[in-house]
Amino acid sequence: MNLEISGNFRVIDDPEPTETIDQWGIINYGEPSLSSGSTGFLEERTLVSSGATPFEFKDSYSKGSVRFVSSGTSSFTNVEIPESPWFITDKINRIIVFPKRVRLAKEMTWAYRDYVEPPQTNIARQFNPVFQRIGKLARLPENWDSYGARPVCKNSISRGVILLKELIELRSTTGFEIPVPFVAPLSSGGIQIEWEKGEKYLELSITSDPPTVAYFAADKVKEGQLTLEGSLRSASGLKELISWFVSGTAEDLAHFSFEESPDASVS
Amino acid sequence: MNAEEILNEDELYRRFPDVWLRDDGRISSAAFQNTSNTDDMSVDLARLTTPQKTAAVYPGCGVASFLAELPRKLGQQVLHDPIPTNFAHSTVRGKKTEAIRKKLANGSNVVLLPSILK
Repeated sequence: MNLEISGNFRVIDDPEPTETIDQWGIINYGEPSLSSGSTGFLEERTLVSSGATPFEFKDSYSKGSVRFVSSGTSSFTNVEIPESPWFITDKINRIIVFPKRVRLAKEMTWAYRDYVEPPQTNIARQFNPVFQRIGKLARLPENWDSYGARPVCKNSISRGVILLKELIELRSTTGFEIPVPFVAPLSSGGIQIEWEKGEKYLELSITSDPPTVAYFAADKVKEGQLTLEGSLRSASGLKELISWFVSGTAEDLAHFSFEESPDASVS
Repeated sequence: MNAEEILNEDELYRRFPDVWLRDDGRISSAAFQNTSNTDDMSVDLARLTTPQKTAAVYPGCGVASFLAELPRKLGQQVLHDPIPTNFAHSTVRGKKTEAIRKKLANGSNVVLLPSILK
C-alpha cells in the first residue's frame, strides 16, 4: 500500500487510515536507503507522532510535496502540504512538522521527499513585522535620535504604508520575490525603506516637507560602483526599481528609463 | 576652548538609537544625516572621549565609529567643534546625499550596542 503526501494535508484518497494525529505532529522517517529499488525512495519507517508544542519555523521549506509510501501495494494518498509551518530537516534524520490534523496509514514504512519549492509564504504575513515596526516609529518622541530629530510625521507613515502595500500588490501581480525591507526613521520626520543583497542596495526615502519619495540604488560595476538617485514619481518607476533589485543587473540599472532623468554616476 | 586638529586617522564616534540598527547588525544609512536645516552632522572625536561617554548623553543609544579620512574622501569637512558640555564634539560638514550616507554607513563599525539590545 502506498501513501503519498503532497501539498494542506488535505486527504484526497484515504486508504484505511488507522492513526489520527491532531494539531502539531512530527513524522520522523529515518535514514534514506536506495536498496529496495531504483526509485530512489527512502526505505525506513520510523513513524513518530506527537502533540508537542511548536517548533522552529524554517521558512526555506515552507511549501513542497512529500510522498509517504508504505510498502506492498500501489495505492496512495495525497495530502497537501500546509502553507506554513512545516519543515524537513537534514537529509539523514528527516522530520516533517505540520500544524493540521492528518490521518496516516498504520503500515507506513518508507517515505520520499518529492520536491521542495521556494518559499511560498503569504507576503502580507511576511511584511507584518514591517508594519508593526512602522507603528513603533510613529510613536518616537521629539529628539529620539539625541541630535534633535523630529517625530516621524503621520503623512510619511501613511505614504510609507501605502508604498509597502503597493509592493505587496506588485508581488501578487508580477510574482517578484520582493524581500522584506528594513524601515528606518529619518531625523527630518520621514522614513526610509531599504533593501540590501550582496552588492545591490535600494533605498526609498519618504519625506513630507517637501512631499517626495527619493530613491537611491547602487550596484557594483567593473569600474567601481554605479549609483542612481532621484525622485520616484510613478508606480512604474517603483516596479522598475524592484524588478532590478530582485533580478536585474548593474547594466539594467544603467539603462533605466524613468519619466524624469535620474542622476547616475560611477565612483 | 581651543579646537584640536583632526587627523585622517582619527576615529570619530556617532551616537545612534536602536531604530537605526538593522537586523543584520549593520547601521542604516539613515544614521548619517545632517542635523535638520544644517550642513552639519555631530560626532565626537574618539581620542577625547569614550564610547560610554558619547552614549551617555541619551539613554539607550549605541555608538558607531569611523575614521575622519572617510568623510574627507567624500568631500566633507571634519572639524573639531567643542561645546561647553562636550569638549570632544566635532562636526562632519557638507551635504549628505544618499550615496554619501550609505558610504558612511558602510565604513562604520558598531563599538557600543544600544543598551536595549545588550
